[in-house]
Order: sequence, then structure tokens, then C-alpha cells
Amino acid sequence: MTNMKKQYNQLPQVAFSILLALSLKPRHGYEIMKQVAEDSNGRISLSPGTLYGSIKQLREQGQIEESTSDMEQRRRYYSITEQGRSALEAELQHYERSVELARKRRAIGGAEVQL
Amino acid sequence: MNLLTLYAKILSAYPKSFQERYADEMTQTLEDMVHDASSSPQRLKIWTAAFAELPVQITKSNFAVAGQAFSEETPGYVKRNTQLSASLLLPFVLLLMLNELRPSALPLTPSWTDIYQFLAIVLPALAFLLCATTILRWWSLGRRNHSAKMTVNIADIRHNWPLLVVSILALMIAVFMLGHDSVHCVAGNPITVVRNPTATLHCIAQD
Repeated sequence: MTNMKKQYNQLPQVAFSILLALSLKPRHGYEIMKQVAEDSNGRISLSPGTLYGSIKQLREQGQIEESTSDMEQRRRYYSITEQGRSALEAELQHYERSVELARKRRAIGGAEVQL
Repeated sequence: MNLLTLYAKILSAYPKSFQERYADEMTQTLEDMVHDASSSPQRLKIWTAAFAELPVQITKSNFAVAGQAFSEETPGYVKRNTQLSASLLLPFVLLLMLNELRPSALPLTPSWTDIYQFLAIVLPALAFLLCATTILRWWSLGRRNHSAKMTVNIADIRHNWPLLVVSILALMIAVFMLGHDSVHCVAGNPITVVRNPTATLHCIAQD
């Protein structure tokens, strides 16, 4: 637990969305944008500046890497690395715990209201 | 010039490394977005969002590169002396803030005047001297070692900006306060002078 606490670094929302979009397959920039919009039901709409600023950071942190595609050579594809997958897992576990806690508290609050 | 060309031109304000690596992709992605937009209002929304975010993103990116260059490539003694110079300016800043909170509570006794003069003139002057000495040392070491990189770094804003900012600030404070013949009347606070010109002039006249 202490070890996990040390390793866990909260991801910014955009970085989390990008890693989630890349968790299934490598994608190029525009595909990432579309996937992020789809995953968030259109709530997160990235523009090129934000997208590539985050891509640069994620690459420097070793969480994503460039990969080539035989189909479209003029585009750069990005894929998630093992490190990126671990960061995504840690973030998802954090969200799960938060949702679980919120549900419990809502249940307790509900019980109090019923009294 | 169409909007995409204008967008590509603005991208040249990004740091060179970012620009070389991502500018073409960003332009291509924006072109794809506009191409896939189904209506004119949607296209307008895309263009507006893309242009609107650029000032913040470009500034962030340049600051990140400048900060990285300063922390990784600038010599250790330059960084240490910059921090030391900045810390010498802190009492003045603190004085400024405290006076701003209690402008009427300035103790204008001779001993306090000495302290004010020390904090408002001597420390900023020392900070400037330290910055100037650091710049000279950096330059002379570069020349002595025939290090082209070091000489370039001195003139490179990405490597010297904190030192330049601190030295200019220190010089401005020291010169302003030195030029003022009644430092205790303003008690190190230019804002007080502006806010209470009559009281300041009265104080100066009494000297």
C-alpha cells in the first residue's frame, strides 16, 4: 500500500484521456482526438495545441511512443508503453476507489435522510 | 493567405524543437478536423478553438523549454547566484507588501530609516552587483575555456532569463530608491508615493 502510494502520480485529465484512447490500439493524432471525444460523450474536445502538448509530455515521460504504420506512412502513430499502461491502471484504480467511496457515503447519507 | 497557412505560420512561435517535431502534424490534424466538419458553425467552432488556445499553449511550451534549459544547461554557480540575488530582493518585496497593508503605520525614526535604506537600497544594489559579477564570470570563463557553447549560452535568453530578470529588477529598485533623495519618506514603497503624494511631498519638504 505504501509502495503504491509512492508510485501513484495523478495524471492530468487530458493525459488520462489520451492513454485511455491508446489502450486498445495505436492511433494517429486525429484518431486520438476522435476517440477522446467519443469516450467522453463529446465532453472533452481537444484542439491540436492541447493534444500535441500532452503527446510531447507523455512521450518524454515514456508513457507513449511513436510507432509506424504500413498503411499510412505519412502519419505518425502513437502507442501506449508498459509504463503508460501502469500509469493508466493506477489512475483507474484510484477512480474506482473514489467511486466506491462516494457510493458508500451516498448510501450512508441516504440512510441518515431516511431516519 | 488562408486560415491554415496562417495557423502554420503562428506555429513558428513554438520552441524550435517542438515546431520541428509537431508543427506539420498539428496542421495536418487541423486540416482533417475542418475537412470532417459537417456544417459551417462547426467549422467556425474548430477554427476558433484552434486559434484561441495557441497563445496559452505557445507560452506554456516556451516557458517549459526555457525552464528546462536553465535548470539543465546553465552552470550551477549561475543558478545559485541567481537564487541568492532573488532572495536579497525579498526583504524589499516584503516591505512593499507590509507597507501596502499599513501605509499609515510607518515608524519614521532614524533607526528605522537606516533599516529601510538598507533593505531598499543596499540589498538590491548587492543583488545587482552579484548578478553583474556572475555574468562577467560566466563570460570570462567561456572566453578562457574557448567554449563556444558557454559563450552562446550567456547571450541565449533561454539560459540567462532568470539572471536577467533578477538583475534588471534589482537595478531598477536600487536606482529608483537611490535617485530618491528622501528614501524614508517613501519607506521603500513606490506605491505609497503614488497613493499619498501630498504626504510624501510634505515629508520630503521637511528634510
